[in-house]
Amino acid sequence: MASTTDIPRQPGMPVRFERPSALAFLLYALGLGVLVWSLDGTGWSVSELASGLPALGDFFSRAWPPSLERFPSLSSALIETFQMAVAGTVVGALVSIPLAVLSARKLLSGRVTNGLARGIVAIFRTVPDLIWALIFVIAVGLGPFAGTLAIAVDTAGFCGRFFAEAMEDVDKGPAEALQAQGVRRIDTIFCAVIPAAMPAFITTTLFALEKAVRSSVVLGLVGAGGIGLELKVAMDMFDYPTAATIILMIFGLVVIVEQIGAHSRTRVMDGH
Amino acid sequence: MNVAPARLDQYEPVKLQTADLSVDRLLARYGGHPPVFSDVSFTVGRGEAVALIGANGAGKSTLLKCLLGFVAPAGGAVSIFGSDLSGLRAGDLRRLRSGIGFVAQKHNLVPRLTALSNVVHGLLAARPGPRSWVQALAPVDSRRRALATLDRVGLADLAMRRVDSLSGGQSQRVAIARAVVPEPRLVLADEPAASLDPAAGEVVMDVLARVVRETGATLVFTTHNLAHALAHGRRVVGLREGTLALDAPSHGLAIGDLRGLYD
Repeated sequence: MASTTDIPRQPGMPVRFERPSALAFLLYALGLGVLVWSLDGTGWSVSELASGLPALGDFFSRAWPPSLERFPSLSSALIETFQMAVAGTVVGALVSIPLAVLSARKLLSGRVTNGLARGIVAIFRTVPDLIWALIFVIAVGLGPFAGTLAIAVDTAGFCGRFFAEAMEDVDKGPAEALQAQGVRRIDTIFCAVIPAAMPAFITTTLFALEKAVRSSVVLGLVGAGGIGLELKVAMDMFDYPTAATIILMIFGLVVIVEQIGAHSRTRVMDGH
Repeated sequence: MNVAPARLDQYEPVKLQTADLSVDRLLARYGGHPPVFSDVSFTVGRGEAVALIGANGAGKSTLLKCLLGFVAPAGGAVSIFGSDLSGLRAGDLRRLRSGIGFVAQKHNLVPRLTALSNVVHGLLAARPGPRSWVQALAPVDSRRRALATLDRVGLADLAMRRVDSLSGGQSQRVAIARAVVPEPRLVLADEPAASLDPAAGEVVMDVLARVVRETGATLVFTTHNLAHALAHGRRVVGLREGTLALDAPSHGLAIGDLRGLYD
């Protein structure tokens, strides 16, 4: 029986790891440098974290047990948060469909319209939802409507980009087969392109809903409605038991929405 | 290539007065590459069935794309129903295409929709708009026509099945139904049986030829299956090395006569 030492070394055996080029090595070093610079700039300190642990423990001890005294009113605020997320997501996703159709390459629009639509989607997407909320609070006043508008715009940007990419990626065959029979381009989009991209539309919208539920909590902090405002007030008043209740309620809502989203996405991907 | 060139000398290309399709000294090339084919001329009369054969890369699919106006020829002319394609504006080209049914090699159906919705799509050129996007919204007449056409290809009982749950042969029959439901004057088919097993391919070709014959439409189909070419084509047009190497009635040809096109 031959031992491994008897196996002749094969000529031209590829190396396991390729030596990086000088440029690649420089880029790796630069990336590492940026990370160290960022950690230093943000005051990362393990000792400070360790010394802060007792304070964290103090918070948890004062927050426990959670207070259920304001549970009914907090439930209303949580429901409002969920309503903001649902309404904002659905309105944003619907608005994003025409934007996506116009901003998808080689689908319907010419270069100018395409560039314009892509620009609008980029603005919607790149401006953070918190800034949209501040803008809409000024425009329509404090309350959930401002938050819903902020979520809608953010969702339109998020879905607009991914819907457009999904439509660009679908098999072109069905649309071409219809065009070969004289069907208008707009009809081929609604008959062949959008149905083929629909699973991606649905999964993207479900992701947007999960994102919106988390966002709608934060938006409350700037007065745009929902349970976030209640959390801010509880923390400012050192009412930690109520804050704990709010945090647990938010956690429960996010988990439920994410579970429903994950289940629905699985069904969609399975072809239902 | 022994027999096919001799056949070209032997038979005059069929020229009918009522030509649905006319190709005159056609030349096609992609970018700066050498021509895919050149100096290709033939005419297809009303109600004729023509098989277009040739080896891979001979230019069959490119020729069909030229006939549909998807590829602009680098030279020569294509005339469909008497209209020169090169002079047509986009709207006119679309109107002309509405008289054409097209069956692709891969069925190219919309996967998540039912067979009936896909066949209703065949009526979109005549009835554009949301009511033809899915069968549920379609007018009664459109649904009836689509269902009757599915019945003609033997699939009426699967009308409400999603096409992504159908077999390859069934899907291709739905594609045939979509192509013929508007009762086009001309049906173009690009290797409709190529992606199917032999038995399913036979069924698809039989259905295509029968349904087209029943509607009185003209049929031009490409194929690598020489038996299909002879069985379903009244004429066989062969491309070889970028030129027209054969244009002859099928009744005088045998499979052996066509093998030369693939040498």
